[in-house]
Amino acid sequence: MNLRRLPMLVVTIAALVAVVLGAGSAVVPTSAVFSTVSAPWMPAAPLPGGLTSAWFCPGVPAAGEEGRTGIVAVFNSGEAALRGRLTVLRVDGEPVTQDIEVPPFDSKEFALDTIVESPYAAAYVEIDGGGGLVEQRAVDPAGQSVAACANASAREWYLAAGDTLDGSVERLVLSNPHDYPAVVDVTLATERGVRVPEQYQGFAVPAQSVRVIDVNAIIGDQTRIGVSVVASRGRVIVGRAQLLETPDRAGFVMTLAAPATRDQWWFAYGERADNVVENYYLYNPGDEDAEVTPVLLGFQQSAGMEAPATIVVADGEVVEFRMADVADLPAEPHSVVFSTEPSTPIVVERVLTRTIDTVPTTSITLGATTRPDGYVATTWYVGLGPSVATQGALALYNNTSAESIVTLQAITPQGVQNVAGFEDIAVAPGAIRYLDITGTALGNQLIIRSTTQVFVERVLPREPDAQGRVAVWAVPANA
Amino acid sequence: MAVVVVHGPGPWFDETVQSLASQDYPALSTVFLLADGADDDTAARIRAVLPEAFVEALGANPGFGPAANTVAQIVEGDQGFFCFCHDDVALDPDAIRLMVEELYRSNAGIIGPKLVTWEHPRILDDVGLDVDRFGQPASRVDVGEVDQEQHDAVTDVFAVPSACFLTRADLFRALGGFDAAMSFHGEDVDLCWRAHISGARVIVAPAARVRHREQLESRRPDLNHVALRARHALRSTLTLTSGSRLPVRLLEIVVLTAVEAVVGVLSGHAREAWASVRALVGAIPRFPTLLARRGAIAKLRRVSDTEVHDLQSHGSNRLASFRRARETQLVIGVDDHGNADGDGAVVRRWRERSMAPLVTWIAVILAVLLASRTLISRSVPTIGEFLPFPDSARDLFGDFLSGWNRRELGSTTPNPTGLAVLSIGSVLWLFHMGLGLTVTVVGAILLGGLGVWRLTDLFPSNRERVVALVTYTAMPLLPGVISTGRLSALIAFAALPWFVHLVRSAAGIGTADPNAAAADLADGVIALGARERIRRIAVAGIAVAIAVAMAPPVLLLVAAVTIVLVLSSILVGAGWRTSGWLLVAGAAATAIGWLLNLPAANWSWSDLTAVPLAGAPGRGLTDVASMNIGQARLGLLALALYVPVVTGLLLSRAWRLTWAGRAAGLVVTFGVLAVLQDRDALPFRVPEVGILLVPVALGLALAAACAVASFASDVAGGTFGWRQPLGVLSIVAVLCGTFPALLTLTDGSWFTTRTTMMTLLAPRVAADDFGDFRVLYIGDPRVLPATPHDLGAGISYALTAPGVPHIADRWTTAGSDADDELGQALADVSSGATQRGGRLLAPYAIRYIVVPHIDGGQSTASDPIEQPIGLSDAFGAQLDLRHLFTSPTFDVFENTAAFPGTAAFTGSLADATAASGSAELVRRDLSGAPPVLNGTLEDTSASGEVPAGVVALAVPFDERWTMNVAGEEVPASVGFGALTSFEVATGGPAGLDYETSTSRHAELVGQALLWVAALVAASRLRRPGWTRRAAARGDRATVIDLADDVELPTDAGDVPVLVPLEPVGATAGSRHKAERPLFRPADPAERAAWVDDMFADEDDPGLGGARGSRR
Repeated sequence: MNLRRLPMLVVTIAALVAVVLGAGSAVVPTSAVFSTVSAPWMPAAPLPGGLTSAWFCPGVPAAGEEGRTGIVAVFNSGEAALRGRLTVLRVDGEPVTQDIEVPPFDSKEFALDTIVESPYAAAYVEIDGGGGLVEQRAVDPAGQSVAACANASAREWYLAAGDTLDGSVERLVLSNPHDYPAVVDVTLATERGVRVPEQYQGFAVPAQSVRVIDVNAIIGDQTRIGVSVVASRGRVIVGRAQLLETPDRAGFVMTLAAPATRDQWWFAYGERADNVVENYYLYNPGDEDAEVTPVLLGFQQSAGMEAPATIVVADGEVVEFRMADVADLPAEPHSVVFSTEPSTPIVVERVLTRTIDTVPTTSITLGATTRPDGYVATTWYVGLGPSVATQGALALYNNTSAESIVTLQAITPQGVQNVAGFEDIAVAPGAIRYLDITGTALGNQLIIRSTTQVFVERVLPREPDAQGRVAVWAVPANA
Repeated sequence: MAVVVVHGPGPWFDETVQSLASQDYPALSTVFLLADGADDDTAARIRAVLPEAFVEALGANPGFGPAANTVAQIVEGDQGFFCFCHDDVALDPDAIRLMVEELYRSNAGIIGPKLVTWEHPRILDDVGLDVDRFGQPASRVDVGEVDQEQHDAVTDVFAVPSACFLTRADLFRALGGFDAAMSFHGEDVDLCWRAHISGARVIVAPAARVRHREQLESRRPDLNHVALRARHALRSTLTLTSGSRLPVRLLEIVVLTAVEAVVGVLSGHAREAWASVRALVGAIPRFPTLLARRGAIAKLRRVSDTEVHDLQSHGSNRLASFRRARETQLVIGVDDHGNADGDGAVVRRWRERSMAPLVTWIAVILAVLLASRTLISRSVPTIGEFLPFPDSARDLFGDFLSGWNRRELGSTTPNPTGLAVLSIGSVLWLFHMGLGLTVTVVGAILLGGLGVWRLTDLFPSNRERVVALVTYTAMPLLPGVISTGRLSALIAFAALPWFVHLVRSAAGIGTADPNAAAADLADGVIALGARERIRRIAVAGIAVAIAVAMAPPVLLLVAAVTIVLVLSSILVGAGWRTSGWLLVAGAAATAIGWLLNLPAANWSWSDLTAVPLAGAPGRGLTDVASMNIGQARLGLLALALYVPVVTGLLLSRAWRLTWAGRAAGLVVTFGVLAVLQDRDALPFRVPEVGILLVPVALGLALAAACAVASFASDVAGGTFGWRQPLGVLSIVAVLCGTFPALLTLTDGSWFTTRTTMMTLLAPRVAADDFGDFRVLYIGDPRVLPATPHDLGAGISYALTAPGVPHIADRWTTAGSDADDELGQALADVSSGATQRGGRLLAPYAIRYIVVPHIDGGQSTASDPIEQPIGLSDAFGAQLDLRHLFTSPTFDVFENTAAFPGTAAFTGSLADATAASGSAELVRRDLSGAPPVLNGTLEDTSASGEVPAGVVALAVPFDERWTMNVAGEEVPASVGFGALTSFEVATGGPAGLDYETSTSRHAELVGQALLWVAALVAASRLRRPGWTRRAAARGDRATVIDLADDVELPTDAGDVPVLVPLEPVGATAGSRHKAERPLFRPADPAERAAWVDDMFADEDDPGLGGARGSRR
């Protein structure tokens, strides 16, 4: 044996064995990440300090009809004046742009029908230096509807709880803020199967304009209508104007569609009462069946209560989940989260109708999601809040396992101030807490600060001095 | 008079001197001409044996012939003989006497002994030379021919080797000595040819025996022996052939050279063929010199050329020599003391006669052409680094010379040397730039194969070279790198075998003597002189420089390979000395490679390594090990090639074991690096996997060759045991491992995609009347068509001119403030800080943003690289970016806020150019600015009309940009924070230009000087011949007078004087018919007395009887 060979032989064999043993398992390639904030998410308030921020409001009535109008409200929680531009898009005609300026700790509302005349007008607001908060309020004789404006256009939009039953009118408001045409395909999921309306395949939304699609004209007398708007070119903003005038539902809701499907949808506000009908609509626009697990949270479960069964949502189908069907659900506030596999994401909307004195008031709310990177905000903003004292106007759900300390702040002309009596409020892990809005909190922009991640829904009066409540998400702070 | 020319005498020299001291020839004087100048040690060695010897130190080493000519100056008198000797001969004691006797007996002018080999005197070395009409000598004995007295008759020959021969002093003087223009090789043929012309006879006296080491090539590795032989043979032919025959001879030479070029290339003797071509071409400027010499020779001519021609051999010895050269080779064995760990001795051994190399090369070339047929017929697709060449080689060279680097945003970074290399290299594709990429790709494969062929010359048998060549060119790595457009890896594939070959050559490692395996010869190592070692290192350095100029990561690769070779050599017991020389040679070559790329070689570590990805590529161990890194799916059979890595270490012996160890070192080190990189488990950045696998491929090829060599030499024929099955397993594994290569033959394009991203994209981002603009590519660095700049998180960007990027976009340029600003703009888009990203990008003339998904190289429809999260969304969300085109292959956004690269801003817009921050930029839409001075970004100069206002130029601020408007110079100022602008007070005709700085010119001159220095060091250039001859000639005083010193023999006995010295042409024994006596006859009585005395031998009465009878 030539000893000269031994060292290299040992090294070689040792290296080969080490490599085979140590590198035998597969390594999953890692995806590159350019931007997490640009991924579709729910409307969120950017931190001040950026170059510009943009808010894309889904649309409000602007035809100048009596009782049908809408405003865009711009809030400035900073100590410097906020400057920017408001661009109003309409169905016909060129967009109108005007410079705007909002003083420190103040807000400004812009009635779009005073700027343009259009069945529906959409707007986007660019704010120099970033920051700010923009929301819209659509007004209809049937009620008012507050919606936060989106931070970005998107290529896909989904809605789960459409309704064209006799007396209900559903319109899709598509706006294109970009200066090149967008081309979209609209698909409807109905009780009778998937409808692909030919006239809305390759449907063009011209640059800087608004298009309105009357869903009733496509498929009438239907409930559980899921909507997919997918742009083959360009990006749009999609909102839904839902007028409800049926025996079971009433009201007007102008909401922003969901810019993406997700595997988890959260709802902070829920109520079990005889006069409350709380239904959830689960829409699966994908190609595979989704198995969705609803989990009820925020209350002490009784021994006899059975957890809701897994719901199978076939592809292209909308499934209704009735909270009333949950046996032994205590008459307490509750939250709920719908979970499915990441490979079969869905969209979930809640339709909550509260009937008082035989008058139903319906609100439709899209669920909240975590950001794609798992982020949940600890700070939430409320721009359009109640102008009258409202009990339980804010529903907070602490979705962490740690106690949360919550402080409510109001933006007043003097600056940011804690709302008396709403400082250091403890929210137990996994618990729900309702906050009343009174005193200095009324009519002002609000900030909810928490020491842990929370979901915050606002439950606003349908309109001033009117009965009925409409739930809409507060605006989480983006990080 | 024995005349010995001494140069760097080794231990054997003592024996040479001793043999001269032992001569029984009376009154023998010895002159030692020290060609290396004064050397006390050598002189002492001589005087220790021959105290009376005359030792003359020459001022310079002019070569053997010119040095020997010195004797004509320091010795006077024509009566006597000169016995010229090399310093590596040992004469039998009676050699000179027997030659003198035979010279008289045959009345010859020149006489040579029987030369036998130094170590084995029974092996013949030479018994005279046959010479053809082209001056090419051919030995009259075969290599290794045993002396069985078959050549012992006195024979007329055309020439005798200069190793040892005896000539009459008067003849030597009359002929003018050796041709002073011939340093080495051919001087003996030339002298003998002239002797024939003058009517003298040249014979061999085999009774006189001389041992000869014949190691000129190893002792003088600095000389280009092949070239010298060719040049000197041609010189002799052109000057010694008669005028009437010369035209035909010239024609024959031209035809023969052409034939030789073809035969030489096909038979693997391209070097010899090239030497002949070079000699022929080189003769043209020497025409006046040759003519003058012909005039001088004409005075010597006493014999018709027909008679001389009849003495020459028919046909061409040159063509015959090709066959002869295939049969033998010089190999390195143990040293003179029989030790295996010193500098080995060079011996000539038989090389197996085989057509295998020729057949293999033809097969490999055909296979490569077959596998590349689609690339050849339809050009190489634009994928990865496979980017088209620009239209003009001149423009490419102009770019290199320019002080402005116009790639990306533009900078004053020195242009890469690769531009010059490509420009000069375009002669290979006859300046048809469309062919450039194809020739480069296909040529790199063959060049790599040739490199392995040259490297494996260290194996004495052709079999191993064939295996290594086939294994290397059949490596699955090739379809892997070609199908993904990894040009850098392909260049590494071509360069690395050459680097290892040249480094081992510079370390002195050569072909080992198969017979030395028993002594466990770790390496066949010869001692190289300093000059030769420097020359070889310089050659290696130049090779590295060229490769690095084309692919900078090769610099890291060769440095790492050097370290691995050194460590492997130590581990495998190759010895510290050899390992040290490997380190020195490798490190020096790497350093030279870097130096020659200065000033462009200001690379950082990140420039030489792969741009970081988001995480582990995650191909998996089997894919990395089987080199499945491209579109080809060749299976796992290639894993079989790893078997010889281990079996080679188990089975090999001697130098085969050493190289098996080095091969294993390459495979293990770089294989582990590749695997760790694939798992993102390295704490530092390394070149991309394609480059890392090149040393693995080379190691596998070497291991396969070692396995075959060990099977043939160390296993086969031995006692049956575990070695035999293991040896068979190795061979089978090599066969299996190369099998997948057959699939590449059927594909015909190395699995490249025909429809690539650039095919679809090019028309969408082509230049138009917009003005100058740039295209920004952003995404995963593996799919970008130009040099990526890391943005972090696995995202990179690249900037190119409109249309398809070209090859120059491969080279990275140093960043400037403007690059930082651009990076910040992209970060703003990434973070969602703005929805007006187009305005941020506009000052950089970025009109299109391309997000590649499937480039057709590393990312394909069947195996796509996952799209970066949020990339298209982030750009799509921008309000001033028009989503122009979307497809699974790429997204294109058009910047609606863009303005031309050279744009005029007037009125209120002019103030906007002063914006120095992003916050200001996003508030103003400047898209209306009209283009002026189109072509500035591409050509660095333009002219045209400009209005009053501000002309913004989308390049980083540099005051060497000058604008002249209506004869008035407008100084450059800073615009948009870090870019260049000009404030034009009054509009008018304008010219914009970049003035290259004098420092850039100085850099170019410095770089050129470095290259010249390296080329000189790498060449065998020496001082011009005339200066050496002048130095050697000098004014030398006569130190010996033959008439005084030589006491001529007296006719004291009855020794017959067969032929007194008389005119050669008139001798009865001569075959020549003298036209006119050349030499004045000596006095017969005097001569007779001298000869009789010399031949007097009282102990040999028989001779006296014979003498009497002859008389």
